[in-house]
Amino acid sequence: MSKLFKIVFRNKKILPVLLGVVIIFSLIPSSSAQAGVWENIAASLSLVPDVLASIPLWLLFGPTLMGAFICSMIVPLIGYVYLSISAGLLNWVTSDYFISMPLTRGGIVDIGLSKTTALVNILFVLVLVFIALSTILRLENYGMKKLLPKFLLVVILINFASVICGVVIDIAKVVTNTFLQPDLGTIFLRVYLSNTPIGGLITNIQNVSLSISSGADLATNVEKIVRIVTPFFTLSGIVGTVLQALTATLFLFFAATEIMLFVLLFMMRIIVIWLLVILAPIAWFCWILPDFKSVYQSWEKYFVQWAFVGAIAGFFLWLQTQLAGGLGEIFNCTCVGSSCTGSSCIQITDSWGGIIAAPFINIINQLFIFGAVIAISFIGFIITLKTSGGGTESVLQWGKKGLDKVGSGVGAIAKRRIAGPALGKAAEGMSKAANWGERNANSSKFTWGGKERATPWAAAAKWATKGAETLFAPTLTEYAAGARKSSTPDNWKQMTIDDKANVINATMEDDKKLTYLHAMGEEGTLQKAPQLWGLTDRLRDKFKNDSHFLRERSDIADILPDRITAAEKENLEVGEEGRKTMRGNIIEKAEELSREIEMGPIIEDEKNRLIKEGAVKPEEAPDLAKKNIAARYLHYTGLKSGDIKNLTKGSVESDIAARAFRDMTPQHIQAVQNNFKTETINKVMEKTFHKMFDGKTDEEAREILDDYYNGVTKDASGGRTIDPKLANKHARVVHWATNTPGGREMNLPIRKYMTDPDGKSTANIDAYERKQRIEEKLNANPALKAFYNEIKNENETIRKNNEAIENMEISVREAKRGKLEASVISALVSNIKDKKNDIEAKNDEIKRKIQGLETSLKKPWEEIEELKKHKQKTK
Amino acid sequence: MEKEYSKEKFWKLYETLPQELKNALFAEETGDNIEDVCKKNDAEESMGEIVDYVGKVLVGVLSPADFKEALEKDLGIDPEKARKIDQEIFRTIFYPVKPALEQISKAEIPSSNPTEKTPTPLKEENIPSPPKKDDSYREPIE
Repeated sequence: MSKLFKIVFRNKKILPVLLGVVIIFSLIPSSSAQAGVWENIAASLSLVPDVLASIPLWLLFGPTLMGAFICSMIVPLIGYVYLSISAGLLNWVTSDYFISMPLTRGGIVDIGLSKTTALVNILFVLVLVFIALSTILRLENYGMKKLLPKFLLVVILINFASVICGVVIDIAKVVTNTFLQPDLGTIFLRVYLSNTPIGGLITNIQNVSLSISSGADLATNVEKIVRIVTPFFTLSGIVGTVLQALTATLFLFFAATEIMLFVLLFMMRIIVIWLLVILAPIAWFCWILPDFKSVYQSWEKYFVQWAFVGAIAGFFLWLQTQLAGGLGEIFNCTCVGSSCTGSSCIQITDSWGGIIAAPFINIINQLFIFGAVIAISFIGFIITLKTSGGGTESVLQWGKKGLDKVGSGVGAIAKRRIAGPALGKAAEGMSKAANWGERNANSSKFTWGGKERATPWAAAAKWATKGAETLFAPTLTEYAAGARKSSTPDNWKQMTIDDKANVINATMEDDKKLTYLHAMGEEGTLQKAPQLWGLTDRLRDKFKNDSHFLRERSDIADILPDRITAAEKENLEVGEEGRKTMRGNIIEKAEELSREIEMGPIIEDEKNRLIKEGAVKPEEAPDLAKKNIAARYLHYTGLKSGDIKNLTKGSVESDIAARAFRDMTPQHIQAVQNNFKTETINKVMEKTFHKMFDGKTDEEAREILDDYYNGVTKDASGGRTIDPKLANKHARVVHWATNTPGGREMNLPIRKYMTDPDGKSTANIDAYERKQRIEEKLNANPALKAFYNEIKNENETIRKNNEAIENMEISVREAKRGKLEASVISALVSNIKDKKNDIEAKNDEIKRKIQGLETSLKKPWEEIEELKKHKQKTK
Repeated sequence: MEKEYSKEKFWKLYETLPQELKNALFAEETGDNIEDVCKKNDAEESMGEIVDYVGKVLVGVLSPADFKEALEKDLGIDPEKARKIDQEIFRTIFYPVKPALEQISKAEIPSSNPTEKTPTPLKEENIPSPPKKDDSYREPIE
């Protein structure tokens, strides 16, 4: 025995091996029935070389490694506890008890509601007194009288405030319950632990504590501890465990915080709804008073949004659980220390670098699930706040401010330079996905029931990607734009326009230049700086594909719409789908406009400009010129009346603007009137409406006006189609030109070419409209139209006969005065008699025809007769 | 000649008007209100002329108080209808801009250029008389 010891201690190579064997065998459990323990022993034995190799490492960095080990165990546990608390709270706030908590009755609501109802009742009395006094003093009657029905309604409704609010809340509750599952927090906890890198680590720590607390024997406890300790015998295990611990802590914190945000939202929902219900009587009272209507509108908005905030939040929480579960299946890899198992794990063991790379890559692999879930969750939370909770904008603002403060410096840069563009890119990505979905659906088709159909999965993918694009892309793009801060130099506001132009020209970076130009546009100085307009063209073109600068490009295009190009217009749309639609609209409008004679010179000018600037090959110039003009037309007609004030004078007076104004509303024309000088509006009107009838005969001009009024567009083959939207706008313009004092003073040619049902010139809109309605009825009924024309011809003959009679009667009078021969007079009288007989016969014939009219035409004919009747002049 | 003069005068006065009245002159709502009133009172045939007279009130060449009389005398609308039209036009168009109308009735209307051809004097060109002070205790007749 002593010999054996000597051999062992002399041979240094044997010593570590034996040490390892001793350690491993010391872990042998007392009960051999535990097969798992034997497996563990076998696994432990395989680690002996690693254990031995780690001894120098432990000798060198023992305390550090021990510290790392302890931290790796404790810190994730803290995160886990935080996550558990959040999950528990989520369980609570999404429980049936919490969601079904009475929001419109009981406790504070009863107390508050009774007070506000009483207060509003007092206000009702005061209002009644005020109305009475107003009537007596004749201060103003109509407004007050107009308020009475609302007043009475609210007097009744406020007594049912609780019931009415309850109905809305109940509807919201039904929707919310669709998404919320019982014990949602527990589901989250399970999903996070089973599908994430934290899972293995936490489970092992949990197992130890459970094993000890349940009074298991020493061997079992030691076995559990060995499971945790084992990774610390290899370098890759140490690296893996520390990395896991760090990332676990970080992500547990994020996950728990994100859950906590939803918890707070659900809690705030209760409090806010209580307050809103209490304030309902006051809000409804404000609804009566025009000056306070905005108070009611705010209340209504907040109430509906807060009632439904649970539904939206519930949807995103549900989505999160589904996503985490789904991704867990795809990215199946669980690591403990350096040992990772699962179909998606990456094995790099054949090189020393692999010792560090393998755990690192595998952790990244797993973190993808976690990262994706948390990212979507945060985006979901932002969308919930933006789309639901009224007043949560301020929460969001507060959050943004907090984010700015916390991350001032690097954080702020990250937000502006990374988060904003990243979300912009995400929106673009969604558009691309939607595009792929559509292409995929188009390509994977099968024939069934004689019809070509997309395969179900392709159709589902198409709708899912399209839905995602429609729902999220605009929000993300908007957020991306909002995330950026358009900073201008410190003394920007004090600078003159020339100073600003100099600053912009001296700035090196084009993105900053664009930002400054945008700032000038917002403050209304870009409009007065024509020297910078060329630069805006270049920069808009340069950044035309960059969604990051969408807001800048769009706002500048609203100031100078006469300078945008087809490509720019297309790229002002969010998402590939939007751009595709716009592309189609531009092509269609280009064809339509190019058929109009008056557009010829405008397109020609654009073509020459393109060739002169060398922007395009000469053979491509005509087509591009048409498209550019169409893009400008579309941009003008897409402007809101409130945008008109931002236009430059040149943009308002441009030829294409004049053409576009023709298809805009009277509010747009009024906006020109309000924001530009009289000479400008006269110039615009001259181009807009006088040009329509230039060089036309009266007959042609009348036809043009009728087509304009009815929104008729002509296609390449001369076919006429009616655009109802255009018809509505045009009818409004015609009304405006004839019925407003200002419109009439403009003396637009519109009035000159209006005709009544008899085809006579009229300046009366009523007569003109009656004629239009007759035309409409006749065009809809060819048989009626034929009959109408027949009667019209008969009436024309009668009219001519009447004229002839008048002339002959004059001749008779002159003949009598001139004492002409009796035979001549008698011949004339006889002629008159004949004509009168003819007229009588014709009238009888018309009557007969009308009486003999087939039954189906009788009613429409009577309607036409009614429309033709001129109302007696009111004298 | 008279029409030319009126048009010129309109634009001259227009430049001096408060924004509220400028808006009212060109607002689609003004036209819609006049149209409604005319239809309601069977006065579609006189709509154009009524619009012109509303314009005269809004630019200050005719007092709102004289509007009814102008409808009766110049347009020959029967007194009862004229009263109703006047009442409704006042309620929907003149009343919302009452302060601005009072303001221009106090302001001096710029004299026309002496070198211009003298237009046929119109009654409405005089400085508008202050609104009639009705008996404030009398119930309004609808």
